Amino acid sequence: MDFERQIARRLHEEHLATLEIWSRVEQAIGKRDAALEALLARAAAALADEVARHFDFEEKELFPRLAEAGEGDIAELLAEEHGVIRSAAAQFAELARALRAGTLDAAGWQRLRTLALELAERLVAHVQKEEMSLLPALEDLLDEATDAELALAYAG
Amino acid sequence: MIPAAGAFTAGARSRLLPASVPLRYFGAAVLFHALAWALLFAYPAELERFAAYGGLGPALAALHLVTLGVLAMTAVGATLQLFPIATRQAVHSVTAARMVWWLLTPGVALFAAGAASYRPRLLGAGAALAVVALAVYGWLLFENLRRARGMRAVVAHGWGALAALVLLAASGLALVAHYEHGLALDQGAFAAAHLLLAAYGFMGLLAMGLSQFLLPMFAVSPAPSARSAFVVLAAAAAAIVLALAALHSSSTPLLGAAALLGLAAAAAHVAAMEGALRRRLRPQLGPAFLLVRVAWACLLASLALAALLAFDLAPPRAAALFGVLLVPGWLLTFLLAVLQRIVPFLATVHASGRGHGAPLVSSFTPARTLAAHRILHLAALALLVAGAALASPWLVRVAAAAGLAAALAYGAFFVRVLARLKEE
Repeated sequence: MDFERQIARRLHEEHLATLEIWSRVEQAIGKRDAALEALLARAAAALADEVARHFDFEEKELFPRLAEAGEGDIAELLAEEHGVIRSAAAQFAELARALRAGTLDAAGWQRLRTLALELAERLVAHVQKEEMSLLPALEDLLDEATDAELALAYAG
Repeated sequence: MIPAAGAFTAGARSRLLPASVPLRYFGAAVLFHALAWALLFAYPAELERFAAYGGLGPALAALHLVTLGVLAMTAVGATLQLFPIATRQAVHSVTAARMVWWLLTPGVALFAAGAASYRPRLLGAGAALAVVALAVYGWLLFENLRRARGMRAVVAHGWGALAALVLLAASGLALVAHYEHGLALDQGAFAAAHLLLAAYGFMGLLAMGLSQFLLPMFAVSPAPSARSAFVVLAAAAAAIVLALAALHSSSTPLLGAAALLGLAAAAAHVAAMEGALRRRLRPQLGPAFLLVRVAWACLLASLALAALLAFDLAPPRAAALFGVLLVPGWLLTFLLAVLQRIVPFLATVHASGRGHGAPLVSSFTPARTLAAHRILHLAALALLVAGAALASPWLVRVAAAAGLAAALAYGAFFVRVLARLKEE
């Protein structure tokens, strides 16, 4: 999909990066080896960044605008999904840390595997919803000046 | 920080309809789907007779249970929810969106009862209700498309489908007047035009248009280019207009040319969609895409057979085979494939915000039930193709039994999603 607003394009690019990494996790999760461990560490780091920056920005700057435009239920749905993903991401980060430190036992590994698959599904579904509802709406909600301001704020 | 529940919803007039609006359409479609197969099971010999001579009877009833009761019913329910997403415009009137169901559902039931029992008056009453329902729906679609922003290719397909819907309703009313009041018209040409407008026009253009954003969404892939979508739409629309002109002038070479142009448009559509799917980010497409691909194959085969029929090169009993490839093969299979992805997705959207966290789509997808449906539906389709080609009522009956079992499995899937939604 082509977006005219800078902020929509930026969020779209980040969505693609998220889908790319979590699709790889989903594919690779069957076999535990060094490459998978490195991928999981990368996924955990990327997710921590996404949760801290991407989610916070959407909740503070974009969802209220969506709600003002009469799309409050969509904003609320997306915010609720953020909450669930945040919680799963925190657990995932903890398990990924234990994996890196070599302290993850078999039960922990199983938990990490299940959580990775759950996160992959949640993130894909969440991205699908944002791509369908939030980003197209930004094209209408933001004028050029506000878009530029938001893009600058997000980059900073 | 997570915003508090209810923080965003005050005074909302959202593009997200209440769950009960689209789901009531899908529920009615599930019921009519089973009834259509049951009717064919009871009267298997009617398939060949209807393909050869047309007219009232159980085959006409079964056909309209599928076209009006399943395809149009689902198309209305799905587009009421999907077009607002694509066009960034809320549904003009939720009351009207509900009213369409209250008109269309009894309309389909009366139409099918009238056709099956050779009672033109009953059929006429059903047709009148269905036409009023589709007129209200047409108005909702018109209002939505008129104010549409974004996804221009999808919107253009919507306009094409709406134009086909108007002509489809007019040709349908003319046929009903022929059966009920003896209106003099070329029944064969009108019936062919009606089928063309319904299957390739209204349903076909909607399916092609919504595929532009739905299938890439399911597959997590980029959408085909808008340019290719417009080229395909122009070719498909030209093929439909050419076919209507050919039917009007009884020109078989023109009809053959229209079928070939339609085949080229369909092949370009499938190639563009496959090209987009190849660039997907998730390697697994999911089992629904098996049905999508079978549906595409049936679409292409139906148009190839239409060309052979027009040029008088078709094998015997090709008319029945054409109908099987077109309606259950292309449209029904495609719709069931898409619906098995939409229903759980939509259910999870509506299950959110109830304090239990956002549920996973996979928890709303009974995989085994859908696998059973897939096997049974494909078996029914293969047997129906064989039954139509060999003019074997026995094979048609076995196909209908498999189709009925598939429809019941699909019904079980739908009921389980509703039950899961209620649990949340």
